[in-house]
This record gives sequence, structure tokens and C-alpha cells, in this order.
Amino acid sequence: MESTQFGQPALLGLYHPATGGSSRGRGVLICPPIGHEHIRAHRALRFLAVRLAREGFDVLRFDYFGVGDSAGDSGEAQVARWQADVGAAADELRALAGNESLSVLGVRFGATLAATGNGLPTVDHLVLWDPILDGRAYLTDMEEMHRAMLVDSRCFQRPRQEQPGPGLLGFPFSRALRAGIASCNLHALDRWPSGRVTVVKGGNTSQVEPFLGELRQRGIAVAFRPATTVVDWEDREAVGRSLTAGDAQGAILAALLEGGP
Amino acid sequence: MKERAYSFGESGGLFGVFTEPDVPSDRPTVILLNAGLVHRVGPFRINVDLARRLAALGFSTLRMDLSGLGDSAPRPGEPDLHRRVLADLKDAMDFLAEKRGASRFVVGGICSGAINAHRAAVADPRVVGAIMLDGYAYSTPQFLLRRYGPRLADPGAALRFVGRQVSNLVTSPPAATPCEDDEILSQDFPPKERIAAELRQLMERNVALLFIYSGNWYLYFNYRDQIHDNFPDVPFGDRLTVEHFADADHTYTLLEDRERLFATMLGWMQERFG
Repeated sequence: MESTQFGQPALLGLYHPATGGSSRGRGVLICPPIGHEHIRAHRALRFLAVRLAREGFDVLRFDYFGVGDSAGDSGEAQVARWQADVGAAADELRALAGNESLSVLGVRFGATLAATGNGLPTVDHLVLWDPILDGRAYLTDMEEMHRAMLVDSRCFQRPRQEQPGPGLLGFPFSRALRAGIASCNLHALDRWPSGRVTVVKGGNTSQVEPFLGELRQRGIAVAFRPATTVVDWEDREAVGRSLTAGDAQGAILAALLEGGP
Repeated sequence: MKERAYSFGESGGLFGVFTEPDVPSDRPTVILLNAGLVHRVGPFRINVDLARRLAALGFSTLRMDLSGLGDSAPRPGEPDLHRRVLADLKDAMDFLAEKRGASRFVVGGICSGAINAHRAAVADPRVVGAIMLDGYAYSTPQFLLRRYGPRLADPGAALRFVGRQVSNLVTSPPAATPCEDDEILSQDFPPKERIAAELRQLMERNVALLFIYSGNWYLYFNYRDQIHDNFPDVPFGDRLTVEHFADADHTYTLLEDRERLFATMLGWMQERFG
């Protein structure tokens, strides 16, 4: 693993070149989740990157502006900036690996950013792990979790009356950021950065088939890989807890090895 | 303020991000540790925000992943967790000494990070300060009175409480503790006498200590003088500062709690080392 800093102000990237002298000449860019989910997913995405590098992929993980180790305050984050960051990270991976072939793995809202980002060039294959399809519903879920946390005696000795502000499950989500998230809706997205999309999802998959149908109508080749491991993204008690990808990791690996539907 | 990521340690397996002020100073360098399994940025990015605010005050900071956590590789050949942590921190201090000319360090962390900060302070004379959030604390009569007194004053509540305890003993596992699912934390505090002896060593070396406790640590700590009552024979003098944020949760999830936390830590750093 090698660290890299790119963009201005600098984003932190962690590059995992193919190991064992068996490069496939194919890059994988990992777009992580945001907010508390970003921290929860770090360990799982590191393991996944190491595994992909062992399989011969050149992999880049990175933090968006105002997230993780990258420059910027959390309160300054904007969706448009994050979308541009995805494109900058893709350029960085191509520069580091020298590959033309690029696949993107997006996780949760990272999947939404990868799909909606104008800065991302056309990519071979887009893999969406537990993607956020509707940004507005995502915000509503987080706001409900936050309100429940304030009155949970396992978190606070006494119920808290928080001052009105940007705080949402530990991170500041400004009005502009919330508006940006709410404006993202993959159901309504006409222009996709790839003609091949794989969805990896555990738990309730009732929304997946209609979504895949929408993609097919746009002429996109789609595949669905269900995972039996259900990641507890919406569990308030799991906030702050490192998550386990379980068999989602195998599903993602298989999708990338296959190269797309 | 400048930031740069480094790989360091004997085999280059340790990873951290170094934050430094625009104008170098001879102030101690801060090392921020993992809280449980959370990678170096800390819960809700606490370590990043703290490092950048410290840089504005003239302090450099390394936020690092201990071996096997975050982006640091496992340390081969050392199965003992305590020795592994000390070896990691020695590597970090050696690296900062060689690369940045650092000679004095303040080590800090939350929960398991606090325990590791204590160990590092005891083991390495280069450590001149330690910040421990939700670290060691031991029961006292006043602690027990505060914890159980309100129940005893209310006969109905006392009966319900005793009933629950008996029921738990018969039918259920012990009550959950904060961070119970974190394997790094599944350890009991060492005997109080050992910690007292180690704190005496730290006082002889004039190490400054900041102990901060959250409301979530109620199973172990519930009043500000508890540490002095735990260790009446340790000559803390003015080298120990204790703060109790009884309203806050273990990882300072609310932004307003985090601001109070930062104000306390930054004020202490300025007062002790500024």
C-alpha cells in the first residue's frame, strides 16, 4: 500500500497496486460511504482493497474533501465537490497504475456519488454495494436515527435537547450538503458513467428489481448479486461500530473478476 | 498547516498522518491513538479536527494506526498485545525523533487509546504528557453512593433494582458495558495498586496528565474527585487535571459536546506546553 495526495486542497489516497506480479491491467476505484458510515466501512474496504490487489487489480481508496484524512472541515463538505473528487481520484488511479481499464466500486452514498458525478469518465463497470437510491429518504433515515439516539439511555445518561444545528449522527451536515444529498436520486438518473452496472445488496432487496428494470430501460446491462450478510447500516446502535462485509466481499470480488454483466 | 501521510516502523508497516504548523516550534509532539477498532481519524473524525486545531496553536501531531488496526500492518512475531502497543509507540517516537527532531511527546486517546497512552507514558521517558479519555477509574464509597444512593432513597426503585439484579443473575448475562463489542477493550483494569505505582513514577518524572470522563463511563466514574480518592498516596500536585462531561456520550457524538471537549484539551495543552 502506498499513500498519495492529489488535488488542491489535497485528498488522501491509498493505492494498492496488484501484488504477486500478476497484474490484470485493470484499475478499481473505491468510493466510500460518507458520515458515520465512512468510518464504519474503513476496515472492510481496506480488506477488500488488499484482496482485490491480490487478485491482480490496481486499487485506489480515497477520502473525499472534508472526510477522513483529506483536507477540509467536515462542515465545508458539498455534494458537487465530492462528485468532482470521484473524477479526480479516477484520474489519479489512471496516472498511478497506467491502466485504461477502470471499474468503480461505490458503497452507500459513495455509489450515488460515483453514478451522479460529472467528473467521472466513462468506466468499464460500476459496482454498487448497498447503494443509496434516494438521497432524500437517506437523510430522513439518518435524522430519525439521530433523534432516537438523543433519548437513548445507552448513549446519554439523560435525554438530550440538542441546539438546532447541522449535527447528524456525529457529523455536521450543512443545509447546502443536505440539499445536495436530497437532490441525488438514482431512479431519475438518465446519464450513467458505465453501460454495465452490478448491484450487490443484502437484506431487503424489494427495491432492487424495479431499479434494475429502470437501468435496463436505459440500455444498461445489469446484474444483481445478493449477499446473505446484512450490514446493519440503519441500526442506530451500530453507529461507531466497525462493520463486517461478510459475503458481500465475495460478491463484489466475483462481480469485478467477471468484468460486468 | 501542513499534512503528510507516512509509513514508518521497522518494516514500514505502521501508518499515520503527520500534521504540523506552518512555523515549526519546539513544543512537544502529540501522538493520537486508535479508539478501539476505529482507524486513526478517530470517532467522528475527532483526531483530525484536534490535530488541525493543535497545529493552529503551534503543536505537531501524528495520528497513527497501531499495528493490525486501520491501515497499519500486523506486527509479526509479537503475540502479546501490550508489548505490541509499546513497540508501535516506540517506533512512532523514534520515527518522529529522526524525521522531525521531536524529543518530547504527549500521547492521547479514547478508551483503549487512553489505556495505551498510560502504558506509553510509563514505558518511555520521552512522554511528558498524557490525555486519557474514559481510561482507568476505580470504585470508591462516594462512587457507590452516587451510583446506587438515589435507588436506595426510593424503596420502590430499590426493590425493582434488586429484582433486576437477581433476575439478571438467574437468567441473563451480565449487563452490557460501553464498547463491549470491541475485542481490544475486553480487558479488566489492572489492580489499582499497580496503576498507583505507575502514576507515582509519572509524577516523579513530572508528566502532566489530563483525565477526561464522559457520562457513558458511569460504570467506572461519576465524580470529578474520584481519581484523587482512588490514589490518595500519589502526589499529583497540579500535574493532574480531571474533567467530567456527565452529559456527553463515550465518543462525543454531539457537535456541542465535542466543542467543549476540544476547548478543554486545547486549553490544557496551551497551559501546560504552550
